[in-house]
This record gives sequence, C-alpha cells and structure tokens, in this order.
Amino acid sequence: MVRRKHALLASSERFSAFYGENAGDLLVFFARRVLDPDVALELTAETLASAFLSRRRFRGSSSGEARSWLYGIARHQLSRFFERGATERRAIERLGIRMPTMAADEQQRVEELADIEPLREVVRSALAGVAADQRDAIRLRVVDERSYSEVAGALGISEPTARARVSRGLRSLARALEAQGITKEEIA
Amino acid sequence: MSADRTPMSLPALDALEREFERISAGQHEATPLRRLSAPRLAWGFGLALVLLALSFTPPGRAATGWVARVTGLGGEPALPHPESRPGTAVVVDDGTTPDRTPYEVVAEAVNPLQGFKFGQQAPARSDPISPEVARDAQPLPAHEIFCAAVDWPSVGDNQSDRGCVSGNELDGSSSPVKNPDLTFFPGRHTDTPAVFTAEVEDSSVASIEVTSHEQEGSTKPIQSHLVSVDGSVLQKVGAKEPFSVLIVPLSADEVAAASSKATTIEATVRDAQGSQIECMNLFRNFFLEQSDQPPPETSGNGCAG
Repeated sequence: MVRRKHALLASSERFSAFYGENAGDLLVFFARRVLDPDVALELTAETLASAFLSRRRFRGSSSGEARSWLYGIARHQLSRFFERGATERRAIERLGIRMPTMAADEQQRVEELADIEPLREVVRSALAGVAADQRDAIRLRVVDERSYSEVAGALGISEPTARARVSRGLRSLARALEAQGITKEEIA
Repeated sequence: MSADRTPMSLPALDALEREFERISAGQHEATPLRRLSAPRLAWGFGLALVLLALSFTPPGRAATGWVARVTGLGGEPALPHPESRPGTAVVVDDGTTPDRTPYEVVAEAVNPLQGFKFGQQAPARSDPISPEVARDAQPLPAHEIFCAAVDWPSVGDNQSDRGCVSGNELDGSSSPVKNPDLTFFPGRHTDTPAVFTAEVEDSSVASIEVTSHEQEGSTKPIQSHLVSVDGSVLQKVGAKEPFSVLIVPLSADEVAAASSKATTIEATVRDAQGSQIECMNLFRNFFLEQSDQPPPETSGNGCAG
C-alpha cells in the first residue's frame, strides 16, 4: 500500500505529468489571491519546488489526493506570504531553480485568466477602509518592498509595531477577499 | 511539452517546467558507484573503527557530543535519512555552491548497531560497521554515533555523500577549527563541487574569513558560513555550551585549483576584537594523492607566507 502510494510522484516522469496537470491552475489560484502575476509565479514555483523536494513523503494514491496535497502546500505558502509580506524562495534556492520572468503580454494573460481586475477593485475599496496607519505600513512593505526595519524607520515606530500594522492590514484585505467569495480556508 | 497539458500556454510556465526537468535529469546523471569511491569509503570505515573504539570508553561517549547538540535544529532535510534515529535528522545549513549546486548540511544521530546483535552477521543494509568488526567486538549497550552529512538535494534519494564526525577527541589538535571534512558532489573527485565542514567550539572565535591564495600571490575571498548554535536552540537540543560549524561551499573550479595545489584555501580565525587567533590551511590534509607538486611555502601560523 505504502509502496504504491510512494511511487505516485516519485519518478521524474510522473512529477512532470503532475506539473502539467496542476501548474496552470496553481498560477491562477495564486494570482487571484495576491493580485500580482509575478508574485503568483514565484509562489507557484516555490510550491512546486516544495512538492518536488517532499514528493517521496507523499502518501496519497490518486491524482486527486496529489492535487489536495499540492494545494495544502500552496495554502501554507500563501499564508506565509500574507504573514511576511514577501515570497519565500527556500525550496527554489535549494533546488537551484532559475526563475523565469514573465513578459508583459504573459502578465496580461494571467490577469485575464484570474479575472484580477474586479478583485483589485475590491482590494482598493478595502484598502480605503483600512486604518491609515496600517495602509501606510502595507504600502511601504508590500508595494515599495521595504524591509520591516525600513518601514519602522519611515513611520517612526518600532519594528514590532510595523510588523503588527502590516499583519493587521493584510488580514483586513484578506477578509475583504473572503467577502468576495474567496474563503478564509482557501486563503490560509 | 506543458503547452498541451496546462490549461494555458505561458512561456514562463514552460520555462519553469524545463527547470524541473533539468533537476530531475540531474538525478539520473549521477552514479552512486562513482560516489562511493574507495577513498571515501576508506575514510568512513576508518572513522567508524575509531568511533567504535571510542564508544567503549567514557571519552568516546563524550566525543559523540557535538553533533548531538545540533539535533533538533533547523528544518527537515530534503532527502530521507533512513539510517538516522527518527526525528533527529535536521538541516543546520543549506545553500548553493558558487557554481549553483544546491547542498544541505544535515546533522543526524545514528545507531550503527541497530537491527543486529554482535556476533551475528550484519544486516544487508548499508552500515558503517563491517561484519568482521561486529563478530570481533564485545556486546555493547545501545548507543549512537553522530554524523554531519552533506546532502545534494538535486541528486535525489540515496545519492548523497556523507560522513560521520565526532568531537574534539578525534582531532586531538589545539586548533579552534576541528574535525575537518570535505564532501564531494557525487561523481569524480577534485573536479566537482564540494562542501568543507568543521567544528568550532572555541567561544573566543567571533569570525572566520576564508580566502583563496594563488601561487603568484593574488587573493580572493571564498564564501563561508559560520553557523552558530546558541540561545533558545541550545535549550531545545539540551546542549550546555554554544558552538559553531564552519561550512565552506566550493565550486568545481575552486576544488580543482586546490587539489592541483594551484591555490591554497586558508581560514583566518578572529576574535571579537578582530585580532587573529589562528590562520590555517584548510586543505592541508586533503588532495595528497592528487599532485606531485609540493604545497606552497607556509608561514609559522600555517598560512601561505
């Protein structure tokens, strides 16, 4: 039983098929939640790299179970992204993956497939409803990609306070997305 | 090939798939037979004998300390470590060599006697104790040795090279950098990437600068990591004294240059004030069989003069 399950993703051929079946959907999954095709591609790569590294520990026996397992990893990555305001590249770097970049037309295509623009409107309105101090912290951390110490310096607050403001602000945005049909379970 | 399988055709996704294919292909290129080359096995077997001898004595048990203190650090290794005690294999460092070969340094506790009794034939699985040694040895209580393995995650299962190390007693030197080991990427020695590891227990050591010196006198820095094990991590693993692990990932070119004695790779050990504690040739005892050329002249402190 275990041996049969173990073999499901163990070979490179099967992992390649697994990639083909899931990579596109996974990219859309992330794009609808982070609203940024480039970030979505990084999260997709990190998720698949994590799956590749731990594929021999996968204990399922069907493609459906494999997909559920993959999305479990994806939700963990997404949760980490919302917590930290930055993507994680641990598995990517461990495998030495050279990250591809998206051309402008590719980004446009992902935005269309993920139907991002309406979601952006949701986020814009949600952002307007977020407390000003949290909004500033989010802008500095997520939009300007500043470190937490830089966010703290720019706002004249301590680093723990900066982290708390970003975290609370992102949770507010997550709730706004949830209200639009993306459940909390899907986000985190 | 992903274009007809993924729900959309995106060059970036296709490029990413090719990256996974490249990584998967790398697993088939490496040959375990070449990895388990005679020098490495001989070294591992010799050390296993030393560890076995030490295990009979209190100093031997004490010698197994330093990697034990690492147990519990970091995350789960990318590769399975079936010979380690469950839950003890932990990543203490990871990254890539300068030529972008991913590596992990994993600490693990291993019981070399697990699964068979002395006086009986050893099990078929890989084991650091040979049947001959097992037959000659006296019964021992269950015990463990501790290994610091350098894994190469891109190679896959059962392909990683690893060696067991122990504490200061095996080294016997007064140097703050003890128990040096050099683990090659599976394949031919000396023209593959490698990772140097050593233990640093001297609490006065604040930094170690690793440099490559060419014979004509030029010098360049070599990336290295001094991984500190202290604070809450020490509490977690039940250790009493903080220590560090020196990790030097090397490219194939750097290994080739060091093995041919075209360069020497030196470590300058400094205290918190920046004063030099010691300067040492890290690879003095490696590559002895690789070249007839004598090593460069060294100064009294062990580094190239």
